[in-house]
Amino acid sequence: MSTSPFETILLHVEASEAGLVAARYAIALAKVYGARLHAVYVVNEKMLEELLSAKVFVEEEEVDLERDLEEDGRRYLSAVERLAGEKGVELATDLAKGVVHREIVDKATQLGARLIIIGEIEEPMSRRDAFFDEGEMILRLAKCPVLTVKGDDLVRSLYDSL
Amino acid sequence: MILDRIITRDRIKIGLSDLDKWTVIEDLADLIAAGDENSDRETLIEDTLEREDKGSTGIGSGIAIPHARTAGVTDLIGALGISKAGIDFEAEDGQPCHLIFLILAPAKESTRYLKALSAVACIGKDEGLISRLTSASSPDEAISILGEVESCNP
Repeated sequence: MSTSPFETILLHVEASEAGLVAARYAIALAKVYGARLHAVYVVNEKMLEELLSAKVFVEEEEVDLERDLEEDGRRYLSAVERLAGEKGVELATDLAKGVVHREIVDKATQLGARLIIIGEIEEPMSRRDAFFDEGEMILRLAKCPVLTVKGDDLVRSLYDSL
Repeated sequence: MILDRIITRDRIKIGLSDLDKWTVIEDLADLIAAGDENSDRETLIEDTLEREDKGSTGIGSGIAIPHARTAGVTDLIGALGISKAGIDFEAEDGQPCHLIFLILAPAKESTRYLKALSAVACIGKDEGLISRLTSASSPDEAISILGEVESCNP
């Protein structure tokens, strides 16, 4: 039986600086605990479809933006791969499409992940904010512990010290 | 919350008196160009009008969202025009638009651009918000109301 509390960690990769901070922390945890790390980026297909049906987008725009979001995802997943490689941590990656929190929670269940790591959740200004934030939804619906990462300087020094 | 970050009080015009959607777009572009030295007024207007030519961004419920990804701006940015009388934006429901949001982003800002457009579309589902914003008597009041809006997608 494994002595590590986190055999498999799922990292939700966001196309932002906060996403890379979370990635550094996930890599540090995976290295320290000898865990498998799985990074997932989700193209928010639901939001694209809703903007198309609300007539905000014309079809050509939706297609262009979806393609660019996929490119963003690939770019950020590559950046996480580089960070993991620098610390000798093996990383599996996935680029999914759909409802972000649903894809993350389902993937974590499918992988048997014992921890989901997400970026910092911004302070909500209203109950509406809290309810509709993807990070909040992952916290509410995940079947395993969820860790939200904050503190850029702290995380960088932890990552650099490995 | 994203909207009150990209639409600052100096980019809100209350009491729009324009007669058509083309001049509204130019007015709102002026607000952006006046406060952002990195923006290029002509390019952002050209790209916004090019998008508008492909289909009206009047989404109904009194809201229009002219928008574009354009080299005319270097960051995600927005402006809001409010018209109590309403402006013909050739909206889907045939009704005049009272809230006109100009949302612009450079090509690289796909994710935040999507969130910003989703947040504006979300306002269209909330009659109370539309009414409060349309009645806002100052940019500060409008900003405060925008602070309550986030994507309603999940």
